[in-house]
Amino acid sequence: MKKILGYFAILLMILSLFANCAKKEEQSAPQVEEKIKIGAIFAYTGPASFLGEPEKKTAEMLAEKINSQGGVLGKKIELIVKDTAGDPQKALNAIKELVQKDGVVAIIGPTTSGVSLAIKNEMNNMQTPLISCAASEDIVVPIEESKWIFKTPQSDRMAIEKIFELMKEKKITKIGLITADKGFGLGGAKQAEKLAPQFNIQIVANEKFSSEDPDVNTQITKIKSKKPQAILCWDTDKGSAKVIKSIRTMKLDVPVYMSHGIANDGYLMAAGEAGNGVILPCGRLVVLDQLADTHPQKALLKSYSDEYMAKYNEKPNQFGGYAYDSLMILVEAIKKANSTDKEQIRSAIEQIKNFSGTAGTYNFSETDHNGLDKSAFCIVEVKDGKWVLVQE
Amino acid sequence: MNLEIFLQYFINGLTYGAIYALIALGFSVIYRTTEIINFAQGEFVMLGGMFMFTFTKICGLNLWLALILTILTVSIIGIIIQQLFIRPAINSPLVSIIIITIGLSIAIQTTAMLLWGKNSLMLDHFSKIETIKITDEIIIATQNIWILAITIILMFILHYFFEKTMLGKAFSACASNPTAASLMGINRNNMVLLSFFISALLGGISGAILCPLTNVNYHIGLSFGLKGFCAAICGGIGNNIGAILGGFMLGIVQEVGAGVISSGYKDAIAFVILIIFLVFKPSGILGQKWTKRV
Repeated sequence: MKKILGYFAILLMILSLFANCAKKEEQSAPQVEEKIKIGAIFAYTGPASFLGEPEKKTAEMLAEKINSQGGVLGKKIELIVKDTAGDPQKALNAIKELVQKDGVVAIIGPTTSGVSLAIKNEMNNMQTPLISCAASEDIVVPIEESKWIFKTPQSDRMAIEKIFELMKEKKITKIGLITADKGFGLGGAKQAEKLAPQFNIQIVANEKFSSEDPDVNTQITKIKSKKPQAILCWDTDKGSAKVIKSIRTMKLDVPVYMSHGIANDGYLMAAGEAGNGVILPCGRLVVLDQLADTHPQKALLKSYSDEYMAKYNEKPNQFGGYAYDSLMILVEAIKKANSTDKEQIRSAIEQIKNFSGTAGTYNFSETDHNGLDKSAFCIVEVKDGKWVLVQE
Repeated sequence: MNLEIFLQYFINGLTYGAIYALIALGFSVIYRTTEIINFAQGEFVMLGGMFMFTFTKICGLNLWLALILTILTVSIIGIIIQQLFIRPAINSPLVSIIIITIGLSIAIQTTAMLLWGKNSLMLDHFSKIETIKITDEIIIATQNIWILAITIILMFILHYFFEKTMLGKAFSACASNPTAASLMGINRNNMVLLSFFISALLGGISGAILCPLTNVNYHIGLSFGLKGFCAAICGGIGNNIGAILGGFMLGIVQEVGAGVISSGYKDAIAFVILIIFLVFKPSGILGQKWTKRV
């Protein structure tokens, strides 16, 4: 009986193989050149999935919308989304598959800085444009090593400059730094160390934590013993919520500044009451309702927010916004280049100026593959579990 | 080095130690009866946190009722897992069963992701007063006290159970010599079931008491499982007292090390300890020499 079952299983497998082949031939034959294939890699499972999921949903929503409006260059776009789970190896496999097997013209994503840095070389080798949705400045710097790499989020360097300006106004000179030990956190730590002397700020404690640490009481104890005047914490929302809880538990009563990586409601949910009082620079999506109607970004943000709400019945966040910008910039570049040639798309992105996105106004150039400046940030404070606009 | 700060590190370490000890005990209990290393142990911790969240925040139940329900639910999940996945495979090679537990761990994580979503969830502390300030430098979260107290009580109960009750003795007998135990009329299958029940219960409790201090999300189980496993190995796997010692040692050395040396090496410290033990004393603090049953 078992034998028969075994044979049956093998037979089934062989059959399904054939079925697959047949299907592929069917698909590939008539549709060549009909669609513009765009790859997308997001971490929609795994630890960074709270960022990757809105990105995936946004990209899919937007692709649908573009196609319903007639597509690009008269062709529909086909968005092929792959999951990285936040794992560099999976991401590498995904981009190779996308470029070599699916033949995409460009890739948007990935979600995290660590993964972006890990696939940077391979994207350059394969000479395919990548528009990352991760924030670390190292992704597009130095420019010689980032020929094919672009990114949409505001850089950590600009965010930290903005924070240091605020600190300088408040005459803060000694700070404690606590950062995650992964891509985004490490990038932030590096920038903070580099920029601090320019603002006469001394980093008196420099601690790391891992996303797996249940709390960071030990790190905070150590920082507290160095008596800083303020804390700068650099991580995305989950880790930062952990840090602020420990800061409150350890009764470290100094102002706390955080990154734009926490600007989504996940932080408010995870930090609860402890999260109040934190100050951060971030994109304007979280304070959409508080923006003046005349603000140049308001209309775009509102339409993105409304469409997302209508489709998924939940609030979008800035991470979805980065995916929105990535895809829109890519589409704009394809239109501009009037071609799907990779090199032409790449140089067309460099030509994009004054392009309004959810994160700010993009001005790309041959030396700037991020295209945003400090005006892309507003300053927000968390008050009573809500985002409150402090400085537009 | 300021003594007060050192003490603060030590207190943080005690909390971790208590949790690691509970998880290590979970490993140990299953290992004793079956020689299986249950890699889904960390997931019980995660489930403990998740159900605690569900019962307190979503259902709005009283804290203690929620705690009891959480422990019951997670224990029942432990039993179901044993009945459905481990029991049919109990006579397969050990490696196969261990791989089954790895698979289970992934399955539980994914299911939790689908049920509770991907965000971190916040639980309330057990006490309204969240911290006690002793001096400027030494601050104890009341939750730390709860964790330590519940852990210690639990350890006494377990000790009593294994040493003084008939069932516990049968369990120990089955662990030390399954053939002789079964000749004495002890049903090995039931003992294996009991071991999964106990270890799921321990995991559930540790999750429920720890997660108010941290937050809970679907992937916290993995790192707790790993650290608990380290603790179990360091203490001598299969030895309950060893597991407890291993847990506390690991927690304290890790936190004090992170404070004194650098927090960047926190995990490295834990795993260096594991390697030192594996090289110099593979049997752990209290374990017997590893021998193969013939």
